[in-house]
Amino acid sequence: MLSLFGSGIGRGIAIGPAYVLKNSDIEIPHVALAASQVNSEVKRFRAAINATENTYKALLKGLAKDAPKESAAFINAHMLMLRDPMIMDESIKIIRKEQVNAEFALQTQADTLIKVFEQMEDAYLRAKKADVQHVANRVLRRLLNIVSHNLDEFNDEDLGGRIVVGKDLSPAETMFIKDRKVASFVTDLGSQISHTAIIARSLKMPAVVGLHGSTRYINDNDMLIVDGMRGIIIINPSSKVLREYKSRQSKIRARERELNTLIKKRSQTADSQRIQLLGNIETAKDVKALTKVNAAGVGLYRTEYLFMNREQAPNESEQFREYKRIASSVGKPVIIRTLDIGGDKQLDFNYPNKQSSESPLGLRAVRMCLSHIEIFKPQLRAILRASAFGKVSIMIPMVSNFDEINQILTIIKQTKAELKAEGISHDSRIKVGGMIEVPAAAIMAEAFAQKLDFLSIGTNDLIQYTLAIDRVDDAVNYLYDPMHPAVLQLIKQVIRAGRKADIPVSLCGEMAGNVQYTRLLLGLGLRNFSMDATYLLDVKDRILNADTTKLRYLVGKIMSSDNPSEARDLLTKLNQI
Amino acid sequence: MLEQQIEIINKLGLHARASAKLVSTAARFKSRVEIEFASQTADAKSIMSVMMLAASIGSVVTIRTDGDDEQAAMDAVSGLINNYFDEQE
Repeated sequence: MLSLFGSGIGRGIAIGPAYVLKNSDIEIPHVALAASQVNSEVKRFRAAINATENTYKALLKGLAKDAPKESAAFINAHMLMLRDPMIMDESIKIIRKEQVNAEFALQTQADTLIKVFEQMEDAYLRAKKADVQHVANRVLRRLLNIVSHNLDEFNDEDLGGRIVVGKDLSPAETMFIKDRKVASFVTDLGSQISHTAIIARSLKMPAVVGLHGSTRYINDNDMLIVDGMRGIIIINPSSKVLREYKSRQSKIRARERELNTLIKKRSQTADSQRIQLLGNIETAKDVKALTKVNAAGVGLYRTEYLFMNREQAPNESEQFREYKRIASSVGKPVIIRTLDIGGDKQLDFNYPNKQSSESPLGLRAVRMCLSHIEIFKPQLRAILRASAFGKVSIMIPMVSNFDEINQILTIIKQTKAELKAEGISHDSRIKVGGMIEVPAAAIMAEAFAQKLDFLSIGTNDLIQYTLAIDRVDDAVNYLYDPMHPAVLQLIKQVIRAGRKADIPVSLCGEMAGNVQYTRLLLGLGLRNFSMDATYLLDVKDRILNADTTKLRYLVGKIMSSDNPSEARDLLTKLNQI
Repeated sequence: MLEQQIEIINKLGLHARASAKLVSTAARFKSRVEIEFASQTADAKSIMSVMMLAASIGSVVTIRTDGDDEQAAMDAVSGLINNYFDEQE
C-alpha cells in the first residue's frame, strides 16, 4: 500500500484498476535477412497486417451508437490505407528485394509516401502524412510487440470503471474519458484550475492532478483509490482501508440524496432575495443533468467543444441543429458563448493563418473570431437561426476594448439583415453580452455596460490575467488566489456597473460553483450564479441558509483586509454565520 | 474501355473521407478503375494513390473503367463525385 498526494478535484471517491497511458517510442531495427528467411518475414508482415485489420474491425464494431460520424469514417480510411498496395505490396517488395526485416521495409515505404505528402500544396492533404505514420505505427507496434496506451479513437480496450494514469491530459483526451466511461484519472501535471480539472468536475468525477512525477509508482492494473476531496491516491490498499473508503463512498452518496430534496425549493436567500442558479454546459449531453437539478437556464454554453476532436469545422447547418436542439431541450434561457479557442484549447483541423501559440495572451477567443470571420460568421448565423426556437442570447468571450464590441455588434447587425433578406426567422432583438475576463474589461465595465445587454464574469481567466499567472503553469500555481483583494475589487466593480446600467451580471467561473465563496459573492451583490450542474444543489443549500443583510459587515472586512490569512479566517467566519 | 471527364465539386476535393468513399465504391467492381489528373494516373482502388492526386474543388479529372462491368463502375464512380460524395457540401 502506498499513498501519493496531489491536488484533488471533486468531492467523490473512485475505486478501480489503473490504466497507465504509455506513448512508447518506436525504434526501428534494421536486420539483414538471409535469402531463406525472406518468405517467413513476408508471412510475419502479412500476419501483422491481418491482426491490425482485425483491431480496426473490432473498433468499428465497438463504436458507440452516438459516436460522431467522423469516427467511423476515420477508421474506415485508415483500414483502406492499411490494405493499400502502396503500403502493403510495396513494403513486401522491399522485404524481398533488399532482404530486410518487415519493420524496416514498412518504415522505408512510409517515409517515401510521407515525403510525397509533404510536398503537396494543399495544407489539408499535407497534414495527411500523419495518417500514414499513424497506420504504420499500428503495424510496427504489432510487429515489435510494443504496448501503447493512448486515449484516442483507436483505443479498442474496455476502459469502463478504470482509472486513467498519465503525465497530463489534453482537453481532447478528456473528451474520450467522458465517452469511454472511465471512473477517474490522475496526472502528474495540472492544478485545480487547469482545463482538465474543470472537465473532471463537469463529469462529476473525482480526480487527483499535480502528482509531480509520482505516477511512475503506479503500474497497470494496480488497484487504486482516488480521493478527490483530499487529493490522495492509495495504490493497492489493504482490505481495511478499502472497506473504510467504501463506507465513505456510501456516505457521500447519502449526502447527495439529502441535497436532492432541495431541487424543487424556490431559489432564494433567507431574507427572500431571489437568486438565479444557472448551469454551464459543453454539449447537449449535459442538459439532462441541468434539468435534473432544476437550473434556471444555461448561463454558459461552451460551443468550442463542438469544434474540437474533428477534422473540419462544423458547418452552419450542423451548428444550427445543435444549438436548436439545446435551446429547445433546455426550454429556458440559454446563453451561447461564441467560439473560445486559443490558449490551452486548440482545434485539430487547419484553417488559414492558424496560430498554434498556447499563450493565454495570444490570438484567442473574440480576437481569433474577429480575425477569422469565415469561422465566426457561420456560428453567428447558426445561433441567430436557433434563436427562433428558444430564448437564446449571444455571449462574446474575452472582450477587452470598444473596437471589439463595436465590430461584434456591427457583424451581428449585418448577419441579422442578411437573414431577414433571406427570409430566415430569428430573434431580431437577441441579447448580446460580454464576458468580463480581462482586467481592462472589468475596469471599463460601466462603459461596456452601456453597449451590452448583460455581463458575465469569467473568474478563471480574470484571476489569471489580474494576478499575471499562467493557469497551465504548475510553477506559479500557488499564486492563484480568488481571494486576492484585487480580484474581489474587480468583481465588485463589475456587479455595481451592471446594477447602475440595470443589466444582469452573472458569474460563470469556477468560483460560482465553490461553496466556500457563495456567501462572499452574495455579499458583493451577485444574484446570478452559473456553474456546472454538479455543484448547483450544494450552492443552493448555502443560499437558502444565507441572510444577505447579515453578510455585509464581514464581507466589508474581507475587502479591506491587508492580510491574506486574516481574510481566510474572516471567510471561515462568514461561512459559519 | 470507357472514359469520362468530370469536375470535382465538393468543397474539400479528394480529401481522406472522399477518397475512402471513392475507393470503396471502385472496389465493388471487377473492372480496372483509373483516375487521371494533372498527368498523373491513380488506381482508384488505392486510397493512397487517389489522395496523392491532390485534386481539389474545381479540378477536372478523367475517369477510365475497363472490364466486364465497366459501365456500372463508371456510373457508380461518377454518381458519387456528382453527388458531392454524399456529404453536405
